[in-house]
Amino acid sequence: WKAVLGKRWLMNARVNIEALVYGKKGKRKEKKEEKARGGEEEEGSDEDFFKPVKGGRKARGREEEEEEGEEEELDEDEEDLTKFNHDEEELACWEDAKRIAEIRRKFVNDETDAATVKEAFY
Amino acid sequence: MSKNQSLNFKGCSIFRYRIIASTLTGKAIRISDIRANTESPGLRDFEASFLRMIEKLSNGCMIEINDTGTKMRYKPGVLVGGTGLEHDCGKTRGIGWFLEALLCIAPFAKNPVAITLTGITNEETSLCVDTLRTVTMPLLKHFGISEGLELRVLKRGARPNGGGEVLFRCPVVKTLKPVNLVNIGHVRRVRGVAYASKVSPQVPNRVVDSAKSILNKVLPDVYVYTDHFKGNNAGNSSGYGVSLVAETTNGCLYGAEACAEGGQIPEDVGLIAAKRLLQEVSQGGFVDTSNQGIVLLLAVCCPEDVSRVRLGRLSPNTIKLLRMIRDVFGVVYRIKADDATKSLVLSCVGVGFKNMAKGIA
Repeated sequence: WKAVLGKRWLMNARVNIEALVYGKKGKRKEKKEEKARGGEEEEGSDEDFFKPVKGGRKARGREEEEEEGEEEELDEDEEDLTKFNHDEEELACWEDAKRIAEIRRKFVNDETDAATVKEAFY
Repeated sequence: MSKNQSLNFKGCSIFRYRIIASTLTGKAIRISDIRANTESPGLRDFEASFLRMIEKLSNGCMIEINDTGTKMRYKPGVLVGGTGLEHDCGKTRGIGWFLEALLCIAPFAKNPVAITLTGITNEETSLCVDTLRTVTMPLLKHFGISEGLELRVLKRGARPNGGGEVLFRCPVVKTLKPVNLVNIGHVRRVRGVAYASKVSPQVPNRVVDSAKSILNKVLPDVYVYTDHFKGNNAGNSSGYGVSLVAETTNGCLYGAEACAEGGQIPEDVGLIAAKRLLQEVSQGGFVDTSNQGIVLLLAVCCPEDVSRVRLGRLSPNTIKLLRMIRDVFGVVYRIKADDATKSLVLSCVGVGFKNMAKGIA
C-alpha cells in the first residue's frame, strides 16, 4: 500500500517550476551573510544559549527545503547556441505508428471536424 | 558608469544575450573566466566578430579584452544602426547566429538597419537563414515589427568555406506591443524549402520526398519548395538541407531544419527534419524550442503590461536566459504549468522600454 500511496502522491505532487528555474538565490545569499555575520553573536550570547529552541524540527525542515530550492548550477562554459537539436533517441519514437497516430489530433486532417478547428485548441 | 555599477558574469554561455541586454539597458558588463578551464581559453573568433558587428551598429561603445581573452568588459554606446553596412561573419558560426542577435537589437536603433552579412548561410549548429526568414521574423509581427523587415538570401554558403551572402533590413520602432501568445490552434499546413548548392538538382527532390513520407501521415497539406543554387550564387562549398515550417490555425509557427553532414544521404536529412518538426508540435508551445529566447527577451522589453507566452519544454539555454533577464532587467517571469496540455505559460510585466531616438527623429 505504501508503493501505491507513493505513486499517487507523485502523480498529484505539483512541481514548483519557478523554484526550479530561478531557485531561491535571495534566501541563500541572506543565509550566507547571516553565517558570515553571526559567528560572534552565536558565541557571545550566553543567555540565548540556555533558552529552549522554538520549532526546532520545523526550522530544520525549512532549511532543508531552502537548500533543495537553491539555484541549480548550469554549465557556464556551454557554447552559446540557441538552435536546439533533439536527441536521436527522442526522435526515434516517430518511427512508431502509434506515436504518429497520437499526434494526428493536433493537425487538420480527415479526422478533424470543423467545429473543433474553429475553437481554440487550448 | 562607475565600476561598481557594471554587472558581472562568468563563462561564455549566452554570450550574445548578455551583450544584447547590456546594449538595451545601457549597463556595462564584465565577463570573466571565459573558457578559462579549457585547452584553448578565451574568446573565439566568432565572438570577437560579433563584438565587431555590435561596434559597427553603435556609437561610443567600449570593449576591453585581456591578453588571454578570458576576461572582457563591455560598455554599451548608442545604437545608431544605418544602411549600407557590411559584416563578414567568418567560417566558424553561421550567419544565423549573428542574425538572431540582430533581430533583438536592430528595432531599437536610431536609424533603420540595412546590413549585408557574408559567411555560412546553412549549418547544423545555428539556425539557418531560411528558418529565420520563415519562422523567427514572422514572430516579430506579434510585437509590432513588420513593415520593412526583410531578409534576402543573395548567395548560399555551406560549410566549410561559406561564401554565402544575405541582406537584412529592419525598421525601427518606438515601443513593442505586449503579446498574448497562448492559444495555439491546429497545425493546418506545412511549408518548407529544400536547398542545395553545388550538388545535383535531384538531391533536394529526394530530401522533399523523404520528409513528406512522414508528414503526409498526419497532414495532407505539405508543400516543400526546392531551391537549387549553382555557379557564383552557390558559394564556395557544396551542401544541402531542408527547413520546414508548420503553421497553425492561430498563426503559430514551428520551425525544424536539418543540414547534411558528412556521410548523410538526402533521405536521412529529410527524415530528421520531419521528425524534429513532429517533436516540436508534440511539445505544444506557441514557439519552437530554438525561438524561445528571442520571444522571452522581447516580451521583457514591452510596455508595462502583461505579456504571456506558452512554451513547451524549456531548453537549458532558455533557463540561463531567464536568470540573466532577472539579473539585468530585474524581471522575474511567472511560470505556470498547464497540466492538461503539458506546457508552460510564462508571463511577465514589461519594463516599458522605449526607443528614445525614434521619438526625436
